[in-house]
Amino acid sequence: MSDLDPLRSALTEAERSARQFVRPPGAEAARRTLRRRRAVRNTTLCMLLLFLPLALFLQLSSLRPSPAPLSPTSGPTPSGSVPAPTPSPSPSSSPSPSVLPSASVSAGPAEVGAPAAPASPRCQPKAFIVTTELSATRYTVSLENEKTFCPDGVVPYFWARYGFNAAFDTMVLLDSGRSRLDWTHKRRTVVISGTGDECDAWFIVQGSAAIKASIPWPKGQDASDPDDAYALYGRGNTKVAWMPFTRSGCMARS
Amino acid sequence: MPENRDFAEFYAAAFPNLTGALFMHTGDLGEAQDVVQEAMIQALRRWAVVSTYEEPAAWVRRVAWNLATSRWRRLRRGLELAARGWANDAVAGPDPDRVAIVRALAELPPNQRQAVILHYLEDLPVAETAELMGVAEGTVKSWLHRGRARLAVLLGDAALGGELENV
Repeated sequence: MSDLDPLRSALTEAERSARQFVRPPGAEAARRTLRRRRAVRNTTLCMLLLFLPLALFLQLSSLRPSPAPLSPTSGPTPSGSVPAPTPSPSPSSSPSPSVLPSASVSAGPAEVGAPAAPASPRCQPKAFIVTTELSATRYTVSLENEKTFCPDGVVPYFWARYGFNAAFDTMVLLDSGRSRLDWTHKRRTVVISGTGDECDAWFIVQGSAAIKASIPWPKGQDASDPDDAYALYGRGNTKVAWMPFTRSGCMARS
Repeated sequence: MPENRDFAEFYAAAFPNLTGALFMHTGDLGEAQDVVQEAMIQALRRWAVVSTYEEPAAWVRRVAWNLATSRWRRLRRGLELAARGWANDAVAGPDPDRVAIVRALAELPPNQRQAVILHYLEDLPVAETAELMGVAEGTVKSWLHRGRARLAVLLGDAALGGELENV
C-alpha cells in the first residue's frame, strides 16, 4: 500500500476537497436529539401505560356478553273469545282504539327473568320487530337486534284484525290491541282469534299509529303502503305481518 | 463533565473524516452528514460503553456504514426529502462535475465502491474491510481488483488500475 498509489491519492484529494464543506451539527446537537428522543419515548410509554388499561377496559366492555337470549313463551296465551263484533257500518265512524275489544285478543305474557343491564355506549335504542308465525292464530313478536338493544329502549307495536262487510264493501275493524317490547319484554306472543274467516285481514304493525276503524275494500291491499290514502298506518311505522286478501274465495268477491 | 468533554472531543475529531469517506460513497454531502450524525447519536447513547473501546471511531464507522448501506434508511431519507422538497435540503458541497473520482465511484456497484473507499481511503486492511462488510477476504480482494480496473477505465487513467499488489 504505497503512498504513491495514484488511486489512493485521488481518493484522498477528493475527500479533502469535500471536507471543507462539512458542517458538523455538533456534539451538542447530538445531545439535544438524544434528549428529545428520550422524552418522546418516555411520553409515549406514559401514554401507553395510561391509555392501554383504558382501551382494554373499553374493549372488554364492548365484548361483554349480552343477556341470554329469551325463548318464546310456550304456554297458552290468555285469549278470550271474540265477541261477535257489530261495528258501525259507516266508514266514517272512527272508534277509539281504547274502546275496541282489545282484551279479546291479547298479547302473551311478558318474558320474565331478563336481567337489567347498564346502558352500553353502543346499544341501539330503536329496533325493528320481527314476527314468527307459530300457528294460524299465534305469532311471536320479537326484536331484530335483540343483543344490541338498549336497556331503556321501547318499541311499540299494534295489531288489528279486519273483516269484510259486504253490505258496505269495506273492511271493518274487528279486534285490535297495542303492546310494546322493551328490555324485560323482548318477545311477546300475540294471539289473533277468529282468523279462520277467509276474508279476514290482520296486521301486526310496529309503531303507535292510530288504528283505523275501516278500510275500503277495493283499497284493502293498499293498507300496507304508508303513502296510500287508505293506509292502515302512517309513515314511520313498519308493517311486519300482512295477511290480507289472499284467499281465493274472498278475492272473488272483490 | 468529563464524559461530555470526551464525547465532544471525539466528535470533533471523528466527524469530518467519517463524513468525507461517506460522501465518497453516497456522493451527497448532506446525506453523509446525516448518517454520521445519526451514528454519533447512537454512540452518545452508549457512550459509557463505547468510550471504553480501544477505537470508538471504529464502532461509529461501522454504524455509519450500516446506516449508509441500509436500504430502508435510503428509502426513508428519500421520502423525507420528497416531503420537504429536494432543493431545500441541499447541502453545499464540492461540485460532483469537478470531482471526477466521485462520479466514477458512483458507477461502481455499491459493494465494490464501499470496499475501495474503506481500503484505499480509510486505510483499513483487507481483513478489517472484510470483517466490517461481513464477507470473506477473498471477496474483498476481488471487489478491490474489479473496482480499480473499472475506475481506471472510467477515468481514462491506466495508472489507477494499479497492481494487484496494491491490494
